[in-house]
Amino acid sequence: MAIRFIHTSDWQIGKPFRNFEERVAGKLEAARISVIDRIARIALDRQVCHVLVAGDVYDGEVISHVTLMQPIHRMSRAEHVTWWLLPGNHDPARPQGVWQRLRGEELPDNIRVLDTPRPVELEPGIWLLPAPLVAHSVAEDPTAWMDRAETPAGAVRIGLAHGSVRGFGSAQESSVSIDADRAQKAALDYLALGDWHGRRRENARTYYSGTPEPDRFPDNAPGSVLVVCIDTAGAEPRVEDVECASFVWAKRNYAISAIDDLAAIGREIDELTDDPGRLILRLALAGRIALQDIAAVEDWCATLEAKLQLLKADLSALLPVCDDDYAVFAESTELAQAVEFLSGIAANDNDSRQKIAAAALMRLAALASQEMAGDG
Amino acid sequence: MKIKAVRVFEVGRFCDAVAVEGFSGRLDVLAGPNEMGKSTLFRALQMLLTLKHNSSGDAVRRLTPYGGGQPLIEADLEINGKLWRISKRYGKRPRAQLTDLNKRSVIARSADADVAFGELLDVVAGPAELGLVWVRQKDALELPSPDKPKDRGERNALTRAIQGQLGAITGVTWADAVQARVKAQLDDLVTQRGPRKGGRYDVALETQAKLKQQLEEAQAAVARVQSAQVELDLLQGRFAEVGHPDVLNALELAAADAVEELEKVEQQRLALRQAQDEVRIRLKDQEASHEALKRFRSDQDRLAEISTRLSVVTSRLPALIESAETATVQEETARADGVRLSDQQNQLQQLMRARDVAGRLAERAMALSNAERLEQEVAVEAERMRLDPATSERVERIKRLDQQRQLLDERIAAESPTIRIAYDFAVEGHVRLHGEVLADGAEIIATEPVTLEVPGIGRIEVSPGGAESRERDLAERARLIDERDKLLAQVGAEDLLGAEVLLAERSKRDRALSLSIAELRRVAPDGLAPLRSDVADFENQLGMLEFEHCDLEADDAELEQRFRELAKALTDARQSYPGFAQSAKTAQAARAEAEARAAAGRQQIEELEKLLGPDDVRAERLAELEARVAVVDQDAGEALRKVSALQQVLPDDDSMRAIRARVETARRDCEAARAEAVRLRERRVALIAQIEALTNSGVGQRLAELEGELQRADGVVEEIKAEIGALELLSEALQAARGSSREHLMAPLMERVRPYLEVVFGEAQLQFKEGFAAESLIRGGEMEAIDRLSDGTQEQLAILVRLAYARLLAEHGKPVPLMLDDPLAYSDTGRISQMFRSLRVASGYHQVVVLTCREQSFAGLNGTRVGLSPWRVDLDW
Repeated sequence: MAIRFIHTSDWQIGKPFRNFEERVAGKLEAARISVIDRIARIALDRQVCHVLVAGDVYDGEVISHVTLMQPIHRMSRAEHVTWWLLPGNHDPARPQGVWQRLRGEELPDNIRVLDTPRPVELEPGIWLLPAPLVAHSVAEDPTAWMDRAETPAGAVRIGLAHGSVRGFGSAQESSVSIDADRAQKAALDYLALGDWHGRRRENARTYYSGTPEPDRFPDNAPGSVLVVCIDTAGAEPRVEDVECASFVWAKRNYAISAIDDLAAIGREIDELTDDPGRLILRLALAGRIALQDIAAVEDWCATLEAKLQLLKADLSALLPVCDDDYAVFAESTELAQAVEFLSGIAANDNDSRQKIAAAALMRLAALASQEMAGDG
Repeated sequence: MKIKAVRVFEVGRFCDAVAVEGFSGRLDVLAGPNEMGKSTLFRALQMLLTLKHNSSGDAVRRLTPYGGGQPLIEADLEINGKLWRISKRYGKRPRAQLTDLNKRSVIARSADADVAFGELLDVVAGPAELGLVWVRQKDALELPSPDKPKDRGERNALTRAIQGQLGAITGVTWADAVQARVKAQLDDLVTQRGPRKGGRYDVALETQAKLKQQLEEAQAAVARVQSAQVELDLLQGRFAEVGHPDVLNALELAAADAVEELEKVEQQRLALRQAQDEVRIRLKDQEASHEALKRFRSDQDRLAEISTRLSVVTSRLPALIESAETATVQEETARADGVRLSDQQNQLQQLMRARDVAGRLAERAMALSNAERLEQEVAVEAERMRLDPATSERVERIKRLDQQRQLLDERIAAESPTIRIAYDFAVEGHVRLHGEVLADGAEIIATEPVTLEVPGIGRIEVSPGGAESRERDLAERARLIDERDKLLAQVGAEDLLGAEVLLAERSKRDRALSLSIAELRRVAPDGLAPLRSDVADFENQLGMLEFEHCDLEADDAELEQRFRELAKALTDARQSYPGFAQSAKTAQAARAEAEARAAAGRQQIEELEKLLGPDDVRAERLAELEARVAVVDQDAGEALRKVSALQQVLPDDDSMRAIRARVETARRDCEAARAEAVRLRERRVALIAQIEALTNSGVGQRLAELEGELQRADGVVEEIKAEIGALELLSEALQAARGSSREHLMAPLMERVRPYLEVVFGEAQLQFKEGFAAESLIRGGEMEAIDRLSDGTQEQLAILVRLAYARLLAEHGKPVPLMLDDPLAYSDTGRISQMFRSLRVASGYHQVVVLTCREQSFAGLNGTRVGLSPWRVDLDW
């Protein structure tokens, strides 16, 4: 009576990435669809027949027919897998919502929509207790019914829900609260949760799988699915984390004081992924650095950007320090005075114009260099 | 650099070769009259120092003599302690030569000479330096404003000189360039009023605004979908409550039960109404039977009572008839007396009226008689007047003719000879006229020929002149006399006096006639006809009145007394009428009332007897009525008992209202449920269509896209804002630096000009603006704008500022000669003297060359006097 399945969630198909340039946005959108193929591949490799999606298959309710059907076609091709789809807060089971629309599309047999809170037999002796959401937010714990849900004696009980077992402090997640002890109270062998985009172990029987394809610079650990194995009812599940993301999203903040510091930072970034082309990096550099080195920092960033899939560099916290021997300003008393004026502001942590002054300094250095170089 | 000598040939007015030699290199003065060629020398030197030998153009053309030629200019210059000679010939075959005079060797020729001289000069006096301290005649009055109107590098030259002094302020040009770049970049983004139209910032803001609007629209559309979904959800829940067939059936059954209950109650109510109707009929029947019995008994009583009253009335009737007849006779007698007295009063009134009419008839008849008499008299006199020839017109005409004649006589007499008779003592009376002796002193006017007879002597004929006017006067006189005589004949008088007497008589008669006419008008103002009419009228009135003619003569008092007596008797008679009439009326009424009551009584008796029937059947009739009353009383009691029984089982009003309300509610609930089910179905269809339409439009996806796009647009705007902020702060920093460096830069210049100012203006200070142009003069604590100062002061300040420039340049290793062409044209003697002192002081730092046409005025300047002298030009170099 052992059961092995894949736990995943938060695909959010249809999410556009228009806050990125088109070159990257298209790839990110495509990656969210192709992750289905990669999950199917993992299922094949691990000889898994069931994929439990714990909510938010779609990014929204008001989506076009193409967006609605894209994941369906992908899943239908993976005939060796049965896909169990749970409505989440992004795609709640509402009248004329995505699930009702799908029901009018003659879904293939390997796709099951769990839009009713009642036990479903996954396999003989394996019962699935879904807690579909019917709205973006609900006041009551949608898993509460599981405590009273009857299943045959000795059956493996697997809960499937979408919500928070604690406040994640993110406006992105739903305002649906789930009792952290639900697995124990409802005698569940495993509670598969969605909503939290990073994978997370709440307790021995309660897990968040996280999104299989990250969509933001994370504070958690997205980009994988969980392969869960339950040997028998009451046995502690064995959970394996399997990476499946196309892109690696990362954000890093560094403090530098000299141009030489960049070499170490470069090495750390290299270690983030084997393939820099998969890396989407948000890099923030802070600290005081010689004004003449600013251009070098910018050049270093430009080189890095060319190597990565996407680099979002934030140098606004980089405060330039002007040396007396900076050739550009040594030739002009007025420019030197202006630099002194701006440096005074940039050096003052209590001055609200600090960052503006830093930017002005960098701009002054650039313009003066252009002027000296005769660059019209 | 110092100028030691200048030589020219074929330059401007100098067709011949001339030279100015002997410059001291300190203060040198070339004085001479106008058109001496001073300005030509100034321009020649300027061209030599700044233009290559093969230059052409306006400057060269202006210095070429009218007659043609090739300007040759040569100067000996001391540069950095060495003497050099530069010679340039401009024109068709240009040449140049640079000679080291110390070594007495030619250093370079032609283009090489230009280059070598340029290099030599560049370290001392380029065009910029010369522009600062060489003052042409026409520019002497203006304060120097370096690089105006065009950039010749003068400011930079001064800046370099000052920087050489300060050793700290450098790179002003770069700062300017950077500031210009900052300004350009800022201008690309914003103007003073906001984002630059079409600029990057403007475009970013516009994109942001558009995206916000699109986002709001998409959000609204998605919200509509979500709202529709919520409504659909609620609607489906509601449909489950009210639209289900079991729910509808239950409502219909409830409605049917309520209706059935109501129908049952309604039947009971109908039965009650019918029983109540029966009661009403029985009670009415009962009331009628009782009434019939009661009326029968009452009629019997009334019959007995009326019979008694009739017998009483019938017994009093004869006495009432007699009394009424007596009263009627008394009234008629009184009225007959009244008529008689009235007739007598009328007759008396007729008589009194006749007496009045007769009196007035007599008066009018007398007036008519007088009027007829006066009318006849007036007619006779009027006819006489009409026929009288002595009219005033004729008499006045006679008078005028006589006067005219007299005037003619006097004129004829004046024009006629006058014969005066004057006898001698012895012959008095011997002259006769027409046989009559003329007395001594007699005068005869000979208006016509006169023949004087002198007996014993003969006749003397005297004739007036035969002038034509005299003849006309005589003819006119004759005509006047003739006309007068005819008029006198018509009037019937012999002369004018007679005519006037006749006219007076006529006037007298005329006045009498007027009096008669006035009298007639008084007597008969409207003529005789009204009088005749009045007389006839009064005669008629009198004829119509009935009276005894003899009574006309009766006494008025007697008639009055008779009238008063008749009137009193008549009044008394008339006052007795109402009493007699009332008595008669009362008696008649009493009689009529008694007769009417008797008649009425008889009629009532007759009617009652008809109702009651004959006496023998009245008892039987009464018994029948009493039996009928007993039967209907029993029927009414039974009907009332039936109603009471029904009322006890019928629901009260509140229960009835409740039953009806239940029926109404059940029916309404049923109808409302059906209607709501229909409405819910329709709404559901509409909502689904709305959701599908919006969903298929992809608005949800578009919303997500817009959120991302707006995020990017926000980022762009923020970046540009940060860029603007940085540029503005940078501009602020550069301006602050510029302010600081300007003060630094101006300090040496102000320091150099101060001693010169002290010489001329005492304790004074000049302030400079950016570009080294003087801005204001401060004297005695008062600041004066330069352009408000007098022309003379401005000219003096202009020279002093140039002295400061020259001194700065000199101290910077570029001692350029200060060249003044005809300066101080507007200065008074005192100021000129002070200015001379300044120039002398300045010549201690650099050469000062003054060209002037006012030799005497500049005598006090001292310095070295130089002059023109012939030059033996060597053209073979």
